[in-house]
Amino acid sequence: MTDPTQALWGGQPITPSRPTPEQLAHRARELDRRVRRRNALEYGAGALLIPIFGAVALMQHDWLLRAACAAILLGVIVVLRGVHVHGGAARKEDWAAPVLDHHRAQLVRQRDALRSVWQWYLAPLVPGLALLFAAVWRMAYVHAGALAATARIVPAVLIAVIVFTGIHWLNRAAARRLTRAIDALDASN
Amino acid sequence: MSRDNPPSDTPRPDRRDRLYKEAAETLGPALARLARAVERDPDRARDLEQDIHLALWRSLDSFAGDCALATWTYRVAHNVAASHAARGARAAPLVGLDAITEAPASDNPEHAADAALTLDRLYALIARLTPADRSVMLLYLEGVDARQTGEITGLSANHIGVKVHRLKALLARRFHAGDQP
Repeated sequence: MTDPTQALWGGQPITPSRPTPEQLAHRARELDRRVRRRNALEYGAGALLIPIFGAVALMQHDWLLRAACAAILLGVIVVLRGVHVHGGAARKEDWAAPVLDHHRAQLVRQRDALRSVWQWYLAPLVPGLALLFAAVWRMAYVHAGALAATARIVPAVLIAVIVFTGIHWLNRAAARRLTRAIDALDASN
Repeated sequence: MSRDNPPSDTPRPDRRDRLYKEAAETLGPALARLARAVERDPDRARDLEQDIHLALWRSLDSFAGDCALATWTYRVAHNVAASHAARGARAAPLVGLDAITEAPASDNPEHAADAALTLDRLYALIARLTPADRSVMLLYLEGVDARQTGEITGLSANHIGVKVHRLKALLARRFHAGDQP
């Protein structure tokens, strides 16, 4: 070493960890258990909606409401599958890739996941929500007429549209930022 | 060749354990310094160091000898450290070595010892760098040569040369000349 900063860096008082393979195997099992528990929580919360909407669908006499519940149920299943697919991609990282390649792959994966949020997170829920709004409107129409039914449903529809559009917009904006970071990375080498 | 994280009960554990021991004995101190450079909280740095060891141990089943064991070890370590850093909240945007004209001042004004102060400023500088430049700087500080740094980072020889040149100039200007913040 000729650079004194290197000597200073290497001479830091430090006690490195020396885990044994057995300790690492134990830590690996702990980590796997934590991941399984987190996945169970993640999917469990979604899976909880399945019997709820299933039961609601079965109890309804209105065919449109039943169809809405069934569509929401299907939508939740598609969303859960999307969470699983995108989570799985994150877990299959190539840790031994060169630093630049690994960093770029991470950015691309995050960008693609954000860019496709509407596809696997928002769109699957749209048919169910649309049918639900239609069913609620129709029930209100029977009792109160078209104007009152529309007035009742419009705020809920607006809120849903704003929330979905907002999520989509925020994710697209984050994806654009990542695209710029990827372009800068490519340009730098 | 798949380098995915294999499960803990993967085949060929003897070979993996042997390779791991070799890597940990040779580069254990460098891995500890890397963890402390990326994570300033001592407890979290210790956790990160353990995560690096775990990722390295798990990855070694895929090690086919296409590169040196040290190169493989540094790649895994720097990738785990970069992922850890990316998860953390950042107050300031990261920059490349070319954008830094002077090392940032220490955030600890009561530092008395020159060596400690220099290290403190080095850590502050490292924290500001983009992942690739951070790796180049840390590998330079560890005394890794330009060829191996290229293999670890994936940067071209030209870029490594330019970055190391800037780095040396920066360190000479700010740390060797008795320059105080």
